[in-house]
Amino acid sequence: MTDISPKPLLLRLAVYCVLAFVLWTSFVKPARADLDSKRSRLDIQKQEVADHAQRADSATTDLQERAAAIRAIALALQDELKRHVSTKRLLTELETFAKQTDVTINRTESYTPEKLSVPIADDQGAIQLLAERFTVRFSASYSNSTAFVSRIQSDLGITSIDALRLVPTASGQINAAIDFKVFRLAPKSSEILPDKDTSQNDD
Amino acid sequence: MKFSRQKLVVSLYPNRIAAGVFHAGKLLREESISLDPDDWRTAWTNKLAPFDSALRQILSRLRLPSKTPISVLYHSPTAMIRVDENGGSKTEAQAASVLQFEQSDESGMLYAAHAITNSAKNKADWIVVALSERKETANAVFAWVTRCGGSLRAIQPSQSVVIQDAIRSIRDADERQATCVIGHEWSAVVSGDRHGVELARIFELGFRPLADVYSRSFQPGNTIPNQDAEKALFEFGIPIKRGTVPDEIRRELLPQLSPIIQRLSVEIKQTLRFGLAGRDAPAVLVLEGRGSAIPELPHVLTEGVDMHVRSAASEATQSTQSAVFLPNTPEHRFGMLAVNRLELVPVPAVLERTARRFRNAMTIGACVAAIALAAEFAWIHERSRTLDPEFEAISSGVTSIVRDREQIEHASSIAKRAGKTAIAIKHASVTQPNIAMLLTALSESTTPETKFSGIDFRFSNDQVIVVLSGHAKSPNAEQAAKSLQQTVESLEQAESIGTVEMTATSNDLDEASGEAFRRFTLSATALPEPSPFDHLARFASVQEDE
Repeated sequence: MTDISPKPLLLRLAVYCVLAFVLWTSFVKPARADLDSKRSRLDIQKQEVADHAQRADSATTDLQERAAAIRAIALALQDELKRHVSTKRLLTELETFAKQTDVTINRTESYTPEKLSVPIADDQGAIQLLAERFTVRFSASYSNSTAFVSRIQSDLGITSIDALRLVPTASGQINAAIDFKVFRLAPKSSEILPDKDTSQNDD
Repeated sequence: MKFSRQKLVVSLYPNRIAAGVFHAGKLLREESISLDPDDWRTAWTNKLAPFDSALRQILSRLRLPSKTPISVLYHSPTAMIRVDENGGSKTEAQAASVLQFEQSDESGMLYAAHAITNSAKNKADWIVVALSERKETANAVFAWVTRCGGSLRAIQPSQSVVIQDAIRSIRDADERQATCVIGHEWSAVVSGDRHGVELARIFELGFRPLADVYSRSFQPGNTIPNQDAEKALFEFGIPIKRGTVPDEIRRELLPQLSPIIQRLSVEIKQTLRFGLAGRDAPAVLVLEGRGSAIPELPHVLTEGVDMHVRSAASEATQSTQSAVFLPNTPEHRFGMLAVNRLELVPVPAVLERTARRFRNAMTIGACVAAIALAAEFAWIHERSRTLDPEFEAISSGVTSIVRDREQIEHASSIAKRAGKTAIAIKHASVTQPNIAMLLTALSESTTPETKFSGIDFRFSNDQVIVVLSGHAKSPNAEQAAKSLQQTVESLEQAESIGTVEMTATSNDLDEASGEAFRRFTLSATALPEPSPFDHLARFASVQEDE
């Protein structure tokens, strides 16, 4: 007798349904989603292009100017941090200031630099800073001491004066001691301007 | 799925099985095999299993595709025929006959009815041939065909075809006449004309008993096959005349043929006598069907029925007497009919047909679904492709936007780096005043009487305190105090100093010079310089749209 039970028919129907579903989910649905996404992307881009076109050229100029300003500020900061590529150079400049201001440096003490890590992004590491602390004992006239301290504060780089003590002597001279930190970029550190060359370190 | 417009008709009788292939109203070819009539008695109880090999052989000879639909005309041992006269529409008349069957028969039956023509007694009534068949019998035929690799389309008992043929022949008669259709196993007598049928009756007596006589006695002492016996029957007929067959054979045949012919005559005569209910029998009896081609049969029947008997068999019928599917035979009519209302379909065949249709529908549905999926996929792909030129058209604008956005992102990235660096420096630094200004202010605040002995800057995160120690020296204490006051006032007026607080004072006297000393300790708050990192620190939290 021919098999006329409904099971094979239902099985075949189920197979067809599953096959159709698999085909639909494998090909048609992704293609439709891709088309919808493409349309949506096109609409968004059209709108963005229209908005962009409506904006005056001055907006673009303004954007470029602001970007240039930010870059200039960042470059200035980086240049300041890279000004002293080594402790030796820093001390040399300090001595230069002393000569220029007629200050006699009696003693200079430097300490192990404090390391500061500035995380910037997961894939870009961190900007490593060194905070080098010095204690300088010097003697000079009051006005020269003022000029010397002013040069340290203004011209030595990015500094933080942590202590200053001046003691006038009977001869009219000033004996002074100053504690200060100078911040600089650590060798091989990531830079503030990512495309800036950092190969100038000569430690 | 195989589509074939060929129609295969299988006829099954106790002594032979035959099959004919019809196409476009023509018989293409036919095959037949003799059966042992002794097998017939037990065949139905065995679901026709004894005839499996014969059917397989015939199907093999015909070389038809498997599952070719087969219609079976068979000599049924259980079928019942009714000829009713029912009023109403054609459908109502047919339904009435079926209803009568259903009321009288037990369950497990298949029914069919066909209102063929009008009644002669009442023109509004229909002559309905109704048929009932046991489901067991129908299922046996289905099982038989299925076992042999065929696909059963429909079945019909041969007696229903015989009575259908008889009534149809009267429908074409211009004058009142009686017709006797002599089939293989059954014969039917019908009386009337084209205006209506006045009598229709079927009885179980065909030409097979005559052929059986030939089979037994045509060759003395030897039984010849059924096909040869039928061939001899249709060649020599009833040998009432000398010379048609050898005398010894004639002497063997006639005594055996006479009772059969006599019985046939009686059946016809009694049917017309009692069936016409007092009306005169028609003057002419026309013989039709396969049996009408038996030579001399009209002649011998004329004597038996007291009517003018003539045969409607054509010369073509008589010239191919050995064939089964000759024109005007039930088998031929059965094969030629496009629509046959007396066909029966066994329940398993109905289920199988339904299943097949469902399968086909599913296959078609699957194809349609596949085409629809492909069409949709193609449409989507095409739509997607048409978007490319639009993207191309705005690409320059998008490039400009991307460039600007990259510039913004780059600037933002730099700003954040600078801002975070500034914050780190700021946190590691203490508040810074302008020391040069402070020292200048301190220098300017002194008077000739006032001297500082120590200047100590104390830095913290929020303020810078300058601790000043010294003395004011004057001839008297009042003058010293005044000088100190001037120094304090001068400090308070300095731009780089916020508040000035005298933390300690003491008076002293220089015994050598006699001058008064005013010793003091001052605490001045230095105003911090704005840190350049305050602005830079804001970059750390800058957003791209700012």
